Amino acid sequence: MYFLTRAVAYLKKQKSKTILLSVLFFLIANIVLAGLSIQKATETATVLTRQEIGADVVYTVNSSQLNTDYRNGLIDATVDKTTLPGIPLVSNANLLLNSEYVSSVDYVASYEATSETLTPYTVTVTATTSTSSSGGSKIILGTYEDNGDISFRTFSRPEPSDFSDELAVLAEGRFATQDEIDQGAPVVLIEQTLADLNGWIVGDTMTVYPTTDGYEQVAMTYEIIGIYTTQEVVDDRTLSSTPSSLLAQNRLYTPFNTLVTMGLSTEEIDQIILSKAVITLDDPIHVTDYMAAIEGLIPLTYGTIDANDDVYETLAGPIETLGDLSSVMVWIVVIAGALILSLITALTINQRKNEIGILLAIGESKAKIVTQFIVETVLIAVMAFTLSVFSGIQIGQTISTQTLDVFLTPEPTVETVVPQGKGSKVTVPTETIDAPEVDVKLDPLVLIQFFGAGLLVAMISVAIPALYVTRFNPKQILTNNG
Amino acid sequence: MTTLLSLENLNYGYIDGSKRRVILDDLSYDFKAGTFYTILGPSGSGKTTLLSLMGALEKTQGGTIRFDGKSLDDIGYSTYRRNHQAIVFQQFNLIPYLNAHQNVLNVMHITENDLPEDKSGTAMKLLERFGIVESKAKRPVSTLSGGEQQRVAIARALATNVKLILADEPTGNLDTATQKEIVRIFKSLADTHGVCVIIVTHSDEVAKTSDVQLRLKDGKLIEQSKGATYAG
Ligand SMILES: Nc1ncnc2c1ncn2[C@@H]1O[C@H](COP(=O)(O)OP(=O)(O)OP(=O)(O)O)[C@@H](O)[C@H]1O
Ligand SMILES: [Mg+2]
Repeated sequence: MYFLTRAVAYLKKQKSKTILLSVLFFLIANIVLAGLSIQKATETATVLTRQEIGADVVYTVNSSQLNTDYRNGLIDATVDKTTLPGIPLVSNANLLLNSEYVSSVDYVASYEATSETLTPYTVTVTATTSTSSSGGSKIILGTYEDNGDISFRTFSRPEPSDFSDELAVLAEGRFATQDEIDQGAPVVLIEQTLADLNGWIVGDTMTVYPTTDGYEQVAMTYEIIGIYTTQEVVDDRTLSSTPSSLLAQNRLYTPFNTLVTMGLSTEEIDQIILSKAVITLDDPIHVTDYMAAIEGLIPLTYGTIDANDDVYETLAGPIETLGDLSSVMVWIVVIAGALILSLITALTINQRKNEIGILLAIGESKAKIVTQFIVETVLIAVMAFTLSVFSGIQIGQTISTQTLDVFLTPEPTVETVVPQGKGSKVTVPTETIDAPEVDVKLDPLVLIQFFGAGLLVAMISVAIPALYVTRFNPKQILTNNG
Repeated sequence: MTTLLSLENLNYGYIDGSKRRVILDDLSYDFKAGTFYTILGPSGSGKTTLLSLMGALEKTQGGTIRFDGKSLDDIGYSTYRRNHQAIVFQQFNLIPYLNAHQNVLNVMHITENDLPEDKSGTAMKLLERFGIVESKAKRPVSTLSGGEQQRVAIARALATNVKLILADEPTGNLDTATQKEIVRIFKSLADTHGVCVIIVTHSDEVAKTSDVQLRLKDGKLIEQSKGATYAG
């Protein structure tokens, strides 16, 4: 083990070389650690972005395709919408649920209802032709004449999607229980305005005549379990073209299975066109896998299945590029460092020829001579790496925070368009996606790996040129005519 | 006296341009323990070459070298170098970044021979025996004089308790007084420690003090004269 003493003595004696190598190692280690921090930060950021965007996959009608084909005469106004390929029929949506990643689903469908007793909310806009203007693509389940007073929107999980999306906020009462949902219990959430107009409170009942296809108008009595306030902002132009039954204030949320309760058969329910099916996965991370798994299950001519991929790409794309760049940087620095170290070793070994000859002459093994050189480098590396852990992480933190700030600061907004009955659209407050807060602390495991890998690279870089000593002939080194 | 190192039909030559120049030509000789040998010979006659072969710094091109009856190939070159012989060079060849004490300790750690437990103390005592006091022993070797460095090299050669010491013009760089002292040390090693000492020299002075004077001529070793025979 005396080679250890020799290694230390050598490093002490060759101070300038020791310092030079320490600085080299320190710089390389800092760049590598900074790179690793950035990579870590970008990884975290992409995951956070995915999580921020959420685990919702929305299956809805491709209205732009439908409208285009309708305008071009490819489809007829009288066509049976349920025969259009890819349209979000319940039977189609059911196909998407057969995956281990699906944690819940919300079937959103609409139907209207009339009532002789209730007072619907109305607005007075200078709308003269409100009924005729919306004769275009009637794609949503519901009546085609303006014969409803109010409209129902279905849900199939306790918190309806509109509430998760903050388009509606529960003010009083409660959401439906899963039991009520499963059994199609006639319970409703009503809007505050409508409640006030009719003097309803939570616990009251109301009787209306739903007007959905296949249902003979029989009175249905619903129990009011909750009162909500709508957050939708509707501009006057849209308002003028929207039948009052479809106004948010006149919307009642009720379990999807009330359709069963109303007596619709399974076949009839399968043929219902959903305004959307919101499929929530167990984890946002699984969105990509899920999308791959359901690909091709439904011919999506007139339907779209969207997981906010565009938003994700917009957000995560540059971050991923940054991560890739930093990993390229780490590799370049590591390779350059290894080459420099090899070169330095090769040069010093020539300088140390005499010493190697002496060691060989006194019977030291070549393996131990190589080991001594490796130990010298490892000692310097350990010292430099240890110091760099403090500075490198600091640098990485600064760089990452700044870079991610640049990439994520202009907070992207997602415009949510809520498809309404009769093809009208209501724009709701734009949803903002916050740039994720990224903590770039490298975990100890990464640091240990960095240490291990760094030492390994250093050892190999020294060992390869050092193996040259096996070709040394002590006689040639030590005698005058060598 | 028993034979310690025996050279059997050694051949060695260098390729010089297109033809091979013979340096050692079927050379045979038996070196005995407890004897002080000097080898004389003109420059270029092959003395250093012969010493390198005896010190296993290089392989022979023909013939066999036996140590205590075993061929060097059987012992292993590296093993032989660390356990059975020591070479003292004209250039001292100390490891520059170790001090005198560490240079001696270094070989004591490399050898597999039985040594006293207290290696550090033993090394220091050995150095003091050759006039290297502690303060000098802890100085960088480059700050020692030539004579002092050569004494460190000799201490290093003795530290491993080997039975064979080879030296290539060990006094070539030293003044007459130091030269005499070094030679006296070698002679006493042979006389009182049973070590076989083989010194290559250009100096007749040095040669005269030896038990056996050898001359390397035409690739062979020839005994010039023999000093007093030794009892026991
Ligand atoms: N590597 C080599 N290649 C070619 N020739 C060599 C080599 N080494 C030694 N020689 C030649 O072999 C001969 C013997 O060399 P050696 O060093 O053994 O002589 P020497 O007796 O020690 O001489 P000196 O007294 O000058 O030290 C010399 O002529 C030398 O030039
Ligand atoms: Mg010579």
